[in-house]
Amino acid sequence: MKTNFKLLIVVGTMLFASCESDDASEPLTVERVVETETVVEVVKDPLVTEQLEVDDTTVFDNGFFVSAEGNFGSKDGSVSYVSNDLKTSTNFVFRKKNANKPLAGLIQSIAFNDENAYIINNDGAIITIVDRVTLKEKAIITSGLENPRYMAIIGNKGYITNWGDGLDTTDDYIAVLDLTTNTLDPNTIPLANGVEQIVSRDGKLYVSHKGAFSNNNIISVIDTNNNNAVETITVKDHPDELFFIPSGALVVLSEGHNFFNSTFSEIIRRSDGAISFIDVSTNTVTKELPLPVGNRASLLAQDKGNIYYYSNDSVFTINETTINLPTEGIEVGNIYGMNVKENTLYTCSTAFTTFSTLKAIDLESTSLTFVSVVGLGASKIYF
Amino acid sequence: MSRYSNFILLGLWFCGVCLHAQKKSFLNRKKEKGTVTELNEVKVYGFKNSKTAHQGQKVITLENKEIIRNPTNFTETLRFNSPIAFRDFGNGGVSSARFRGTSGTNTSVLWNGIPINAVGNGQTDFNALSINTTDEIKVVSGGSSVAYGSGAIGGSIIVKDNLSFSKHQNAQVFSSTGSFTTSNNFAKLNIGTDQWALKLSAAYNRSKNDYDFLDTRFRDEDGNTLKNENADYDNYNIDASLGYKFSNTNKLYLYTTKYEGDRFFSAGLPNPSSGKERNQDISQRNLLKWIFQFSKFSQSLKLAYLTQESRYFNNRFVNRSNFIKSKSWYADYNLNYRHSEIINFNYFITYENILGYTDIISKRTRESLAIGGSVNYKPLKSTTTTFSIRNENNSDFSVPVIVSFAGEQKIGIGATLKTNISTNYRVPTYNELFWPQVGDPNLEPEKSKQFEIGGDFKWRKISVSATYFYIDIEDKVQWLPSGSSNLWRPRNLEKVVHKGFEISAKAAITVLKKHYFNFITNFTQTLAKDLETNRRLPFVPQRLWNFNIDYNFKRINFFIQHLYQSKVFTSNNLSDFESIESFGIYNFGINYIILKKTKNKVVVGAKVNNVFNSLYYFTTLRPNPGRNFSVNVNYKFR
Repeated sequence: MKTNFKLLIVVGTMLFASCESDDASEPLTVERVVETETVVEVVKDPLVTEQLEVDDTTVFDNGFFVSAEGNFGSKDGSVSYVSNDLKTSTNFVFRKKNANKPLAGLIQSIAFNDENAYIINNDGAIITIVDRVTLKEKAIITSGLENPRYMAIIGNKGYITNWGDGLDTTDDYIAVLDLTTNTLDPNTIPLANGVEQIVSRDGKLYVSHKGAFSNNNIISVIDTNNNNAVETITVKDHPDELFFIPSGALVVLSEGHNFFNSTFSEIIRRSDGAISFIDVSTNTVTKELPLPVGNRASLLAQDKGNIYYYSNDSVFTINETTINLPTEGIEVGNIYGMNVKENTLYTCSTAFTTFSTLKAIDLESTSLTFVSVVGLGASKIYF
Repeated sequence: MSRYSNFILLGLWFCGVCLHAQKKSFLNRKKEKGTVTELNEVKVYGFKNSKTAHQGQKVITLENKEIIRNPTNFTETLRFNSPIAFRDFGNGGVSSARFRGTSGTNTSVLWNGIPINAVGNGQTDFNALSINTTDEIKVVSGGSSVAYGSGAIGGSIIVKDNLSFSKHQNAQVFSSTGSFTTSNNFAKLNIGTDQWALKLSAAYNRSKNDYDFLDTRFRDEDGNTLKNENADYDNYNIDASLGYKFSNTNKLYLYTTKYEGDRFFSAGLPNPSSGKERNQDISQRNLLKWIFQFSKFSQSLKLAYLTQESRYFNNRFVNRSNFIKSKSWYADYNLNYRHSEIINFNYFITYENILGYTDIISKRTRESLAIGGSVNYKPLKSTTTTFSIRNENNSDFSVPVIVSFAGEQKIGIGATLKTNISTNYRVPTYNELFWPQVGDPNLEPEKSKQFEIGGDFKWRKISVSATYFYIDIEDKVQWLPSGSSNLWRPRNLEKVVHKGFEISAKAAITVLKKHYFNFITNFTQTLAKDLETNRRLPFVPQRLWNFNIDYNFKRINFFIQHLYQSKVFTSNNLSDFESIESFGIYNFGINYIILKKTKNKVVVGAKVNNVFNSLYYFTTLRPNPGRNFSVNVNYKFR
């Protein structure tokens, strides 16, 4: 019995020893993330935001939102908020304002009108409609969507691009949401394969056809005042980001595409990307700045007539008169989202296993002026 | 056959291992962490005559009694009766083990001694395997790569069909039916003579699995609460085993089994109506085993051939699927030489040939040949030590020579101090190597070093087994986003450490001579940490606890089951917003023996699962069923 007792002591000590606690369990903080990030060109110490405490009365009317995709199927997309003075920020804002209910999906994008924000959950096939100031949920749409991507608003209607089944190239469509009743029109607008981003002007919708899991190279123009008649404009492969610039031209970023053999084991052809300028009075491409393989771009933003694109870890600036693409850019590292406001470039680091970092870079001095932590897989910055 | 033909001529036949597939469509832009993985490889299941097989390790054994209490699927059986944590996507969904906090590829599952982890992802999906007709399940904690080869890092699970050469004839029919149109049924027949032994069995399980979600934060657009959709499944297996005894020292066995499962993958919350995925699994396994003993030698030869196929439909309404198939041959020769009471030598040679392919990956063959042996030295009655070594020659990888040292020391009556020090490995899987665009053919095997020390303690009808473990894994294969895209690719990145302890205890108490109580429990404390980032790994519960309490009085049996899992983080952020809350659930059951004769025994039972109607999760936003019921009948006859 004595030896048994000894054994118990030995075992007990071992068990105790393995109970040690350590800081391996602490949540990630801004400081911790910043520490491990390679920072651009730090001219002055970046401002790190304070955590904004959110309660039932908090309103989000003096700042901007960052949507974070999360991972496909992991139901962990989220929305972050940063105050305009860049002093406070907070993550998981929707959840904090809605009784701990998460958005629960890959948050592809958000569309806004004066009153509401329409949060598009891609893998959950849901649109969550919230008050854009309080972020309180007003309604959800759970049927009639399949792989929803982006939404554009004309008057009291929202137009949502849907891939349908991502492997089916013939079932893409636009779902039409009545913004006054928050119901989907049973009639949809069928379109060619791979609908992606969507913008509107003068009653017309402009849809980039990135091509879902395959490829496409067109912009669809839908005239909502003429029975949703569809015209198409051909651009380079994989058109994704698009917007109107102050001159009225539609600018489209085509990313270029890698074509695989039937077993996807080998790339058999790579196509160039381009930034295209479209005259929407004639629906013709007036200028195309090629982005050859090796210099393809994946993000596009604009501010005050300048156009910014992200290619090979740098952000480059052009405008409508640019003929030759610049070779000098601002090095920003590996980013998954960007936007520009008031001569400040905001970037989201590519991070799908931890929080992303949101950085603000002054475009004149190229110095980092601000850093914050935003959601995992942050992809869009909405001013 | 090419490079090992000489060895094969040595009289070895071979066979294989099998595999299984991976549900992920490669077209998903993002690879889901954790569910994707490996290819399998060689193993040796040494002679089971040797008590040395799991020396120094903690082993628990489950039998029919545990199975019929948790008959829904293998995941449930192990959850309530073993120290293993599982991450699953519901009763019909994919389920992977996280033994001692390791990844799914680090638990090796063996069918009658033959490794059966899938070639595609290197795991066993514990919801795509029926074990209800199995006679015995051994759960071995810790690394056993010397014995079982690749993947036996966190632990091993061995399922066995038993054949016995004695005059007998017995049969069992079990049927359970319950909530959500769930039904679990099996029948077993064992017949034997002094020369022949036969086992025939079959099982059929199904469920509509359409339960109400208890998480009322989520509702449909009309404000109604939600229920599980697109989650129905059914599966069956049939097995036949035959043994023939030429003499006491010369026996031949043949085992064969077939499994077919068809299931739909629910989308869970927030929008169950969006679920459309479907998956089919078909596997077939055959094993021929010959055991022959002469003088101080005993030898076994095993030849196995296994096939596995999995088909994944991203849309159940469209006849378009991805598949993965594999065929494995496996041959194992084991020679044991018992020199004396003190010293025993064991030698083995194992050949494995695995062919795998999918609709988009062309046929690839992997061969491996492993040679190893062990010396078992017992200098004193109370002291046993075993040193083992294994060297594998693999057509695709350079696999390290691995070793294991085990020791057991009896201290007084009823107490044994145990230790096991070993190196183990896991070779990269078919998906990790060859998945179009993302697979990396240059991946290295994962290598682990492990130390454990513990003891067994027995006093009257109480037994306690406790072990402290420390596992260090290098070149851990991790799927991570690559470059500026979020295309996930496997890389040899992490160096991780898993440490903690496991305790299992059993007690039997009799009160007033007629009231019998049985208590059995498993507790595991795990800290799994990435040494590069010095952070805890996600998906690993720090504490896991289960227990079963039984009360028997005359013909009545009443039991309570409990399962507790501490909070689980679902990302590296270790944020409460990305976590699964801790929970504790209880099941109650009652059985009554309505007929008890020498040749017939009929027991009827009823069970309430999740008695307190708790909302609990194993995976983000896939709530488990609330309170639910089943009734069953268990008929045994001779």
